[in-house]
Amino acid sequence: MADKKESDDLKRVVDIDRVIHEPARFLILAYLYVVDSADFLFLMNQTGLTRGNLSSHLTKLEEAGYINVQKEFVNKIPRTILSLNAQGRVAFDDYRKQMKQVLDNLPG
Amino acid sequence: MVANMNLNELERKAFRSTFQDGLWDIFIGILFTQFAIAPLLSARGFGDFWSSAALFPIYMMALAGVIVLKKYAVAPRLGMVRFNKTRKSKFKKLILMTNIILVIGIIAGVLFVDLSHLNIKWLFPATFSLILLIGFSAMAYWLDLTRFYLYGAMNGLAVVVGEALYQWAGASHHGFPVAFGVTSSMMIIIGIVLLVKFLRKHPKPTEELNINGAGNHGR
Repeated sequence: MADKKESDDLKRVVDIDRVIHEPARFLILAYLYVVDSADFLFLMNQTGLTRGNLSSHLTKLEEAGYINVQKEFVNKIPRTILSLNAQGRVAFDDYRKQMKQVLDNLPG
Repeated sequence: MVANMNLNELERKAFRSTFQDGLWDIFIGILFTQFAIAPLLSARGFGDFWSSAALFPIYMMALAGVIVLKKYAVAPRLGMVRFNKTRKSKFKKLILMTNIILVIGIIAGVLFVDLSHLNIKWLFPATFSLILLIGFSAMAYWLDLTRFYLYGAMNGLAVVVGEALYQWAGASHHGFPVAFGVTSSMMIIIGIVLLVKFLRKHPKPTEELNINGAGNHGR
């Protein structure tokens, strides 16, 4: 019985979403979770990530289907607008719950 | 990291960042010069209405300046963000509260003109002080901007100090030119310091900022 519980707890750790688990991507998702949308520059300022770093993490988040990337022109200047989609919101909520469970179950 | 992250605080941080340029501090400071300059103009024969109305174009120019600077100096450095429904609802509450305070202020003003013959020395300053304190505190609370509590205390105190200077030191115009001259200057200075810090911290990006390739998948 105890072995089964231990194995379930371990399974929870293995099931953690690795796309979100990376700290920089988690931070990006957290910002997009609390706002409606933000552009690339705003996220870069808030997260403190470099342009290349932010760009590559956003690519991974877009490939995972968690964020919407929309390009628009404002006064002939291109602007990339980013927002968390429904799938991303669910994934972020699940990740938080899973992490909380895992951390709560740690001994000590 | 996960355990320590407070999403509400993250949202507040993001929101506060849109006020770190100090432009609204400068604008409010300029608005408050009204209380310092209008009494002096009034004393020079402009009359109560025209001494305030004469300053109106200056405030409109200041507002236009804020809008232009926000668009051409701040936005290209800070980026663009749209906040969620909770923040929009906080804004609506603030606008409602501001309107209520404005109406109370106008009613109080009219009442005090009617009651001026009663020689109630501290009633007007105390009420005006309270209105300023509540107004700025409402802004501080709903905009999550702590420094607006300071502005509330500063301007609320200015009314009382002005009245004390008037009654005990013979300052003109209920001490408003001195007291509000100081507080409005302080708000403008704080705003300028914030603006300079903001412009130094956020140089204008020289290259196009977007996602390398990420924005082009399937488009």
